[in-house]
Amino acid sequence: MKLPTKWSGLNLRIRVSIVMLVLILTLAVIASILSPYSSDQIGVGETLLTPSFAHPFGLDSFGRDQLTRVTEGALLSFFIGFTVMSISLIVGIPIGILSAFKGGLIDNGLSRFLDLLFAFPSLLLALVLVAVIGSGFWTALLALTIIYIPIASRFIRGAAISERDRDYVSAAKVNGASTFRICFKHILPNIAFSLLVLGTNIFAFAILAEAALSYLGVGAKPPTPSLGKILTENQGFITTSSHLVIIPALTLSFLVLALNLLGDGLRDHLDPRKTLKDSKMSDR
Amino acid sequence: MSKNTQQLLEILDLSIRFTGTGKALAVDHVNLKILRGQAIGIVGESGSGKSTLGFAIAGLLNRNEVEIEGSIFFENEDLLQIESEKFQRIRGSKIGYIFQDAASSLNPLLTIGNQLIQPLMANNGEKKDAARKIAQELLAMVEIPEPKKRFNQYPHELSGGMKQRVVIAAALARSPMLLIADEPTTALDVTVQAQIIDLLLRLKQSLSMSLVFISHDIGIVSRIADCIAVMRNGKILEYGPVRQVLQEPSEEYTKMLLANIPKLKYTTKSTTHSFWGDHD
Repeated sequence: MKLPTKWSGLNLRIRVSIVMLVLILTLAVIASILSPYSSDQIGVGETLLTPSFAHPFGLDSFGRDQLTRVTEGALLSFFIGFTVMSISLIVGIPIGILSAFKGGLIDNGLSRFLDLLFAFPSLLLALVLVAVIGSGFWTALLALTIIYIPIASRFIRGAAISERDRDYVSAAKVNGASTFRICFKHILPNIAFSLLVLGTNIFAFAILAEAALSYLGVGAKPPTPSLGKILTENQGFITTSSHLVIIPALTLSFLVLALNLLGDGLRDHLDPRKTLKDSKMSDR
Repeated sequence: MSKNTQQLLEILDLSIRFTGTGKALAVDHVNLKILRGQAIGIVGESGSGKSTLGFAIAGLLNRNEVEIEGSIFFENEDLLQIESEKFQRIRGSKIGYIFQDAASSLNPLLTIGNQLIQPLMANNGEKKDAARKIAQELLAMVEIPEPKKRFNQYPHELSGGMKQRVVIAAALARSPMLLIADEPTTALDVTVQAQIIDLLLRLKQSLSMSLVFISHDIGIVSRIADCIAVMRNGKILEYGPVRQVLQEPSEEYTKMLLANIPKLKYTTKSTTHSFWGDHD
């Protein structure tokens, strides 16, 4: 179960997704560096201008350059996905592993609390949280983190439980290893591959959830160029200037598709039962 | 409590009950004494409680899932009463454990060297270089060919017998006074089985440690143990020196076990047959 270092050793989905992600990131970075406009600069030209050479994605109803806004929105989405993924993993790993390893009351208490959180649809929970702490970009980020921490913890707990009962953990125990050592030197490295897949999925879902929150008006506030926000702002013009809606929507889909492909590809790639088949079917 | 210095382990009236739905009584009022340097064989069919007994001595039972009564004295200290940190120290320095499945008792992501070095550094406070040296000596001690090369290999690159040798080396790393071997040869083929048994016998003598050898195979146990305990349904049915148990078994069950040791049907030259048929 080693990560291959060769490009050709990866399956098609992983390769495609990496190309997509690199493409979108490079384009976004280049565009935001080269763009002569800032994302909230209004009236750089005629409002609702159709795409032209100077403004490849056109201008929105305030006369803001749409290319700058969409690329910055994509980068923002990346930031959100990455932050939510990192925090939920950093918090979820100790919770999940300790609860799996300690068992008993700690595990029961944590699990029932997580059950409670799972009883609410996650977007509804985010809406409630935002309603309590007030809307805004950072509170949306906080709400998403709070939603994904239990999901990550639950997943990690499950993965750790299946490792916990393996003989090498007992062997480490007899050899006098401390609980900390067993959890983080033995169990964690052995579930790291599943965490990679989990992380990618959280990344994609967090981007979607943030877009949804912004679209509903409880996420980023104008003029922050969140992709969800851009969609709400422009949906009134969908019949007359459809590119204003289609382009950010496509960008969002492209991003999430790439991440989902990556997660899917990684899952197949790291599944030990598929190793044999993979060498034969790697190009499917 | 005995003040006998010859005595390493004494199990007094030990009962272990699993608290799950079945409430199965896995170990039923067991008494057992192990002297220093003595090898005890525990024989029994699956479900007889022999592994649970081994787990209890090594403290591997989850106290949330079992009820334990009685006491296990190790060097005159009751392992069931002392706090877990002290138990962890005793476990790390004085008790070694060998599991049935060598493949799963090695961490698949650590090299052979690291499997041995890490406990040495954690328990004995050895420096990395010293630990590396000890680990290589251990690999040589369990008669692994090319120990230097194996040192940097991963468990999946080794054969079953090799892995079991590494597991034995890991168990011996802190020169334990008691080594519990839980069916160490069951997953191996017969020739490797014999090698591992010989190795364990030699190591037991040269390191003068006590050995608890758990197996379902009375034939194998009789080769390594000084005394045999026959277990069934959590009880020790019969206990005595190997010779006595083998030659004058007092229990019907022991007689049955002995009768079930497989014997080769064809042993003399006149009765051997060619695989391809007999064409003289």
